[in-house]
Amino acid sequence: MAFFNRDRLPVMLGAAAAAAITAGALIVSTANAAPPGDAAPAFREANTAGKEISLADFKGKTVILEWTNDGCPFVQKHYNSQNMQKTQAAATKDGVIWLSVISSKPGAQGHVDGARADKLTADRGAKPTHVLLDPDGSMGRAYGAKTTPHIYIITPDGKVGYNGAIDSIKSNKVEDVPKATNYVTAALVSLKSGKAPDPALTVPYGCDVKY
Amino acid sequence: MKRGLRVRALLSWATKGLAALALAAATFGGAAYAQASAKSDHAEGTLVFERSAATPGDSFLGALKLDLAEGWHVYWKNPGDSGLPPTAEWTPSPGVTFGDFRFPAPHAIPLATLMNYGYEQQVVLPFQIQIAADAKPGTEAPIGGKIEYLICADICIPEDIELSTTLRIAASPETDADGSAIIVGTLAHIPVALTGKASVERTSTGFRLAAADAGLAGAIGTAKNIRFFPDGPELSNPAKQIVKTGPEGVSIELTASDFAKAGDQNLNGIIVLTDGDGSTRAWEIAALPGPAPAGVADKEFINADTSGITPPPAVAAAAPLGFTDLLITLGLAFVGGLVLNLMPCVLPVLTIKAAGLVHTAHNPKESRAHGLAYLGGVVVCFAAIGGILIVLRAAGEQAGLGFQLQYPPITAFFALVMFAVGLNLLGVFEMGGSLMGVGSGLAERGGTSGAFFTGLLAAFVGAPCVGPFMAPAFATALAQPAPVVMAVFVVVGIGLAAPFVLLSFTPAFAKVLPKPGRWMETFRQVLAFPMFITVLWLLWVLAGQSGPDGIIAVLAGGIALGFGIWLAKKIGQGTAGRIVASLVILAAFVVPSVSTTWLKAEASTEISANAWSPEKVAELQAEGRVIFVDFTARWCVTCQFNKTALHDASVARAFTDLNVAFLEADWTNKDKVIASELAKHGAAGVPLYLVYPASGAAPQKLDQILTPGMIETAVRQAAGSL
Repeated sequence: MAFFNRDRLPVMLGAAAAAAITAGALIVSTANAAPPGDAAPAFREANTAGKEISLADFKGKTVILEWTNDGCPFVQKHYNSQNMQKTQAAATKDGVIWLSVISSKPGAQGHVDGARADKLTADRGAKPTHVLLDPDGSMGRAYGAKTTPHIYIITPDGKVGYNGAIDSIKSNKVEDVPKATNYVTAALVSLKSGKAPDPALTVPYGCDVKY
Repeated sequence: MKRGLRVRALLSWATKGLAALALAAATFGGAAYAQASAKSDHAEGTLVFERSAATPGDSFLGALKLDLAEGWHVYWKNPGDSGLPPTAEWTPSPGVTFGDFRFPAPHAIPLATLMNYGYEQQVVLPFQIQIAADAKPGTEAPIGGKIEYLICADICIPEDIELSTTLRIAASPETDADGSAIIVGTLAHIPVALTGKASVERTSTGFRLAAADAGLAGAIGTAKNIRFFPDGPELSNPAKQIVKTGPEGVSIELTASDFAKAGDQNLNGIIVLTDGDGSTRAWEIAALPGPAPAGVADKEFINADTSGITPPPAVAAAAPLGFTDLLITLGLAFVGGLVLNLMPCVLPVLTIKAAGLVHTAHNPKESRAHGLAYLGGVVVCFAAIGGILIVLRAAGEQAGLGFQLQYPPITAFFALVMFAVGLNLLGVFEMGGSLMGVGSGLAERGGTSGAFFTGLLAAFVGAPCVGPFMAPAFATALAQPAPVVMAVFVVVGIGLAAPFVLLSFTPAFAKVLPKPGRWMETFRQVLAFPMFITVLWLLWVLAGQSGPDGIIAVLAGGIALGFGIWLAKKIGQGTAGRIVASLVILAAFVVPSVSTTWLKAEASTEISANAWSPEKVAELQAEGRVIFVDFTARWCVTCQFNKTALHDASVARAFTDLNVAFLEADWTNKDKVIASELAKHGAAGVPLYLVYPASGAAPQKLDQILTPGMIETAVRQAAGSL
């Protein structure tokens, strides 16, 4: 009469199966991923209403992360020219989730509370799905966000599809916007037609993220 | 949007009407005739030239001198992780061609976790000026344009200035002494071509760059810092560069970024040597793939200024342990494993093992087999936890010990397993023997796999409790390379399993034990109750993670489990019946566990008055309060044990008397801020107790087993009343 014998086999098999499922889910949800092709790092950050938003909320959808700082001249370039709003509107109209992320630490340029962030969104006519507040910079560091703006596109299968600049001309001048290739729009078009974005990795330009 | 001050600066006397006077001034005083300067909010720009008069077909240097406000910087041609280099848009001037800016050696300017390349205080950017051969002597060529630069301190501002001056065309050239001095000064810092050889090899983390060059090698002697600045994005800019030198040159270990291609590739940039007085010399590097030349890596070069900034703590690689340190760490890990046997969270599981030992003690062969199987189970579980931890760390996740119980599905699943074990101990599913249709006569193997399973369980519940002895060793170990982390986990497992393995290999032990008999049945049934208590504990943990719905899900799973077992009894004789019963039992485990993924504990809308946050600590410190921070988690049994000391009347009195702020950081659920704070204080997990003194100084760390006296002493010291 052993305490554990084949009587317990079903239990053990059940245990093994569930353990495999949970461990698998755990690894998939947290694997690292700045470079295109890797799994996007999981995150859970508060939006401007204090609700926690995580990547897992948007399974099966394309998600765009836009690092931003309203005091940064490069961010102002793309908002004053309406370029960012137009890109956001076109993306979200297509069912893409757009998350603007603010990783400025408290006291640094661009650090805002939920109310201020909402006012900025309203004043600028911005169209993000959510604005996420990441004052400890943990989400920014997990993604390796360097500049504002810095854009990541996460494909519906949870992988990084694009990582880099919003467009091709590194400047803070509004007049360069129409001359530049909008990498985000281009990547979304590629993804929609089932192709990998090209380029999928560019050097982001802008102000440093105020970690 | 235009920012920045716009100044049109014209030298008042450099006009056509005053040309004669200007000529006289330039000739006699050598004064800066061809100069123009203008100011923006944070910089002043000046154009200087080698010549005060140029000849037709002349080619010479001009330069833009930028004087920056204190604390502000502008960028090198590769700005690093952010920023933009200065640019010039020259006003077209017939017969004059402008070359691009040439950039002197930059400084590495760290910003939080990022790295920029640029200049502070002052930079002089030379550029070539070519005068057309058909230019007419006696005329003047207008020279000017718009200079734009991004200038940054903690914030960045794009500024621009407009500069305008004229350059005299003459039959013979005239030198501008001041301009020449400035330009010669900056040329010393402009990278020179490498006359020797540069090569680059791929390493596991990036590149090994080597440069052999007589001039470079000769300059090493007085250098205080050596650094490579890449032209492109293929390197991690903030990563520390490891420099070696030799009689022929230098070699530098560089960390690749995501932009590096796989395999061999060229690497372009400059190597900059900085002397003690801050003066720089630079060499242009265009390295081709190939082995390093000899004599460039004889000894390590320690940079006086470690301008590679420390990476964030999560990925910080601790100094590699020496062999002795490694042995000490592994020794501590073994002791920690041993001590785990006494921890309240492992005890229930150990009682099963103890019972198994009693059962097999009189059959030495079986006893040994079970002992080894148990060891295997423990080690496999610890190795798995270690492996997942390594993966999480590599993924930049802040994971500590006990992280497995931060995932509600695992907690829920585990509660059900414990419940099933309890039912088995009570004899509820003795008769389910043929559930999966496995042939009979394999009891021996069943017993061994049972021992293995016990080992898995013991390690799984034990890890969050790894506890006081282990925490410092683990904190060090977790920052080590993966093989060391793995070794530590395996050794903890061996320590945990050691007592039982020893006993199962000691035949004399059997003599001490009573002969098997009816009493064992009773003993075994009694052991079911510690299991159910463990279920209760896990449900309490789950309550903090998934709320009442999570509890209901597990309870429903318990009912389904009971139903499945009953079903197996009723219809388990046929194949179809077996399959149905097995499916019900499988669902009983999987459905509630997986469902907790979507259930969340009601997030309390108001943050409790004493919830910890770094900001709260800073705020209370500013008020001069003594702060006691309790880093805890529901699944941490040591933490619960310590609550009795924390809630002692004497502690409450001391806290009131001294106006101590009590903050609680609850790590029951994943929390990156708490995890990084734990790492900051060298703790591998909870509990951690910090006492911040009223003086605002660094906190004192308390032992992991608290007594009321210890807390009182610590807070009184912190308040300065002891």
